Amino acid sequence: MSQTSGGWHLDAPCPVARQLGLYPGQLLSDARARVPTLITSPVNHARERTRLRKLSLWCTRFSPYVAPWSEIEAGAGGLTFDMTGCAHLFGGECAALHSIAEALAQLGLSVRLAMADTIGAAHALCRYGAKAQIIVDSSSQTEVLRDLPVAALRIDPQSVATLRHLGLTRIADVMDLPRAPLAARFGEELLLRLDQALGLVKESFSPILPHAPARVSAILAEPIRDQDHVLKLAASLAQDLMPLLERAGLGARVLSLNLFRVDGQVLRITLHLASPSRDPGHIIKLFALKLDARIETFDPGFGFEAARLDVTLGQPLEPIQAGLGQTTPDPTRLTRLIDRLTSRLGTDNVLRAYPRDTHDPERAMIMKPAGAPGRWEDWSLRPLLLLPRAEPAEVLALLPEGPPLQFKWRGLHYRIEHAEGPERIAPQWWRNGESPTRDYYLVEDRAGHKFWMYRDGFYDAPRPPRWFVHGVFA
Amino acid sequence: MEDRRAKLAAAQRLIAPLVTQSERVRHPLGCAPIDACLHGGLVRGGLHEVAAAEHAATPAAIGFLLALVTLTAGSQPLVWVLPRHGDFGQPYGPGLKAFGIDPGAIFFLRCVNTQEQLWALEEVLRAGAVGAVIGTRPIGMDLTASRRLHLAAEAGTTPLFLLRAHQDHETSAAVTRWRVQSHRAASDSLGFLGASRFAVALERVRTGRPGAWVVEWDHATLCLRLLTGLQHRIPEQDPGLFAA
Repeated sequence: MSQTSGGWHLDAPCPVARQLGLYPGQLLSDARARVPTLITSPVNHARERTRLRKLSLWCTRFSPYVAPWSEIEAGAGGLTFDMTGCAHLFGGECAALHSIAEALAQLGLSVRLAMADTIGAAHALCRYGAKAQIIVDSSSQTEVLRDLPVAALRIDPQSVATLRHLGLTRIADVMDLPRAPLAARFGEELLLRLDQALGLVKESFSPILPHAPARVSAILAEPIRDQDHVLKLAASLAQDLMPLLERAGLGARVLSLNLFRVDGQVLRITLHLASPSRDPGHIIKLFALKLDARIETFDPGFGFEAARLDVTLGQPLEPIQAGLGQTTPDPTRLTRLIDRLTSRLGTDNVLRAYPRDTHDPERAMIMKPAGAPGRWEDWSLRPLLLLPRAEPAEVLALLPEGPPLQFKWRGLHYRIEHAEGPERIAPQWWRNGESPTRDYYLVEDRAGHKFWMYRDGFYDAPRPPRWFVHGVFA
Repeated sequence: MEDRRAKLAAAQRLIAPLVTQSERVRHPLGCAPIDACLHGGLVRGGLHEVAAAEHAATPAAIGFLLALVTLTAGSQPLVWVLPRHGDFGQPYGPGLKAFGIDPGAIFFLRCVNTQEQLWALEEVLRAGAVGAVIGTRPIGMDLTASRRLHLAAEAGTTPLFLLRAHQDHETSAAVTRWRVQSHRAASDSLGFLGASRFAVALERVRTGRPGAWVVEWDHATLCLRLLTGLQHRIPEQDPGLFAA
């Protein structure tokens, strides 16, 4: 049940409740009056939506183009499938519908399925049709639609109510009326929905999976649980994928292996490659490393019954020919090494340093997942190692504005023999107005230890300045 | 004398097949006395260790290690397996650039534990795809593990440079071991600090002899210059270090 302006309403009464005469949209008080022993619970729309999303991901095993319905109305949540070119994989449309119904029934769901030429017609038949499973071909589609109630047209409830008020209850009643007055009275939506259902206007939907340049899938006779078997399956999928990529002149940059569990969960393993590749052996090695690294979280449940390998990002890959007598090391060796490291250690742990155009020392370098190398300008007087956080030091200086003479850091005293500076670095005022200007010094003690220190603020400022060690030189 | 020379030549012929291919590739450091001690230069496919003489000299040890890396790897890509918590912070791009190393050529790896660290080191070495590998010697790494890394370096003809904790007395299979003490830097004509200097001791070297020198790293021309030679004088001898 859910709460609307008029109070609590029933959303999805169970079959027993329906037999007792309860219906969706009924006021809770009316329902209670009829069935005093009614057990209800409020609908959690957000949870329903995520569940439906998960289910649609799992359903991508039947067709790559699946999307959950955008609106969840009165207990009706559903999925749209584009079965074009997929039905024959199950042995015809009838068999396809049957296997979808069976698979969903195994998950404990009661489903109604309709297959038609248009999304609108399928939707209408699915929600308002007499049969739980129906396939309608193009010739009889209009005939079948005529008998359905107007609510099946996916129009807003207010229009439905007005139409019913005018005595137009079936789609046939609307279809036979002149169009102009209808458009004037109900706006464009009614006619658009009608035309979409009849196939006069094209309708598209956005599938939950993005378009993939290449994908291959396998449905297994017996569920598999073993990691080795999963790898073998992935290997055969990768082998099948290669001719597809070759024909398209592409190499895979991002791959995802989707493993469909018997219980409706999908396990997805994604690989990011440093450079486009078409080598199944390489890809399999990466999957093996990834599985090894995730061994604790790898949960096959009661087994996987289907798998799909998607190339979610492809890049043109030209055949490379090495020059005769070339002795430079093979660049693919390096990219493959980086791929292996990334698979095992994770993308966030294989990094490269990139410069940033700022004077702020902490922000001048950023570590990012390895990609193209950063271009570094020349620097002078910057420490070899930078402390993650500048550490306070007790400093004795001869002049208030001068370099330090002696300092204590991490419990050790250093007597400074040589100091260079100051290099004044002003903070980025638009970031944190609070932090004062820093005066950086390079100092060297008698033993040759070199530090990068700074004084925070000025002596005449209200707060006495403090000293920090920020880095060390070799 | 002639007799001894003939004997030596015969002995060398005898062991020649035992010297692996990768051991023949050596990188001279450009200082004749040091190269003489190294029997021609640093072995390319092998494990090299650099330790600080004291904890405070760790930055100097890293500096000298990077100088060795530059001399062996040139402008080839590098892999640096980062320690989980560097005592003196993490490598800093602008500072590396100022030291003469292109930070863009380095791949930094972060590992969660020692096991993963050793796996990563071995994987990179065996691939033979980079100019050199930089790492930190894990605490308590035994002889077997270090031999394994050395063999991986040999297989991939890739040098591995490990920073060794100054109080680490574990034996290892390293080809060379250096001990580095901080040294006051050179000052240029205007009185500013110039090139970094290091007091280094070659403590252990396979097919060579130990020595100690003060060297200067010129980050502009990328070469090592010898300042003083203190041959055959090692500052502190620790018997434990030579057990291997």
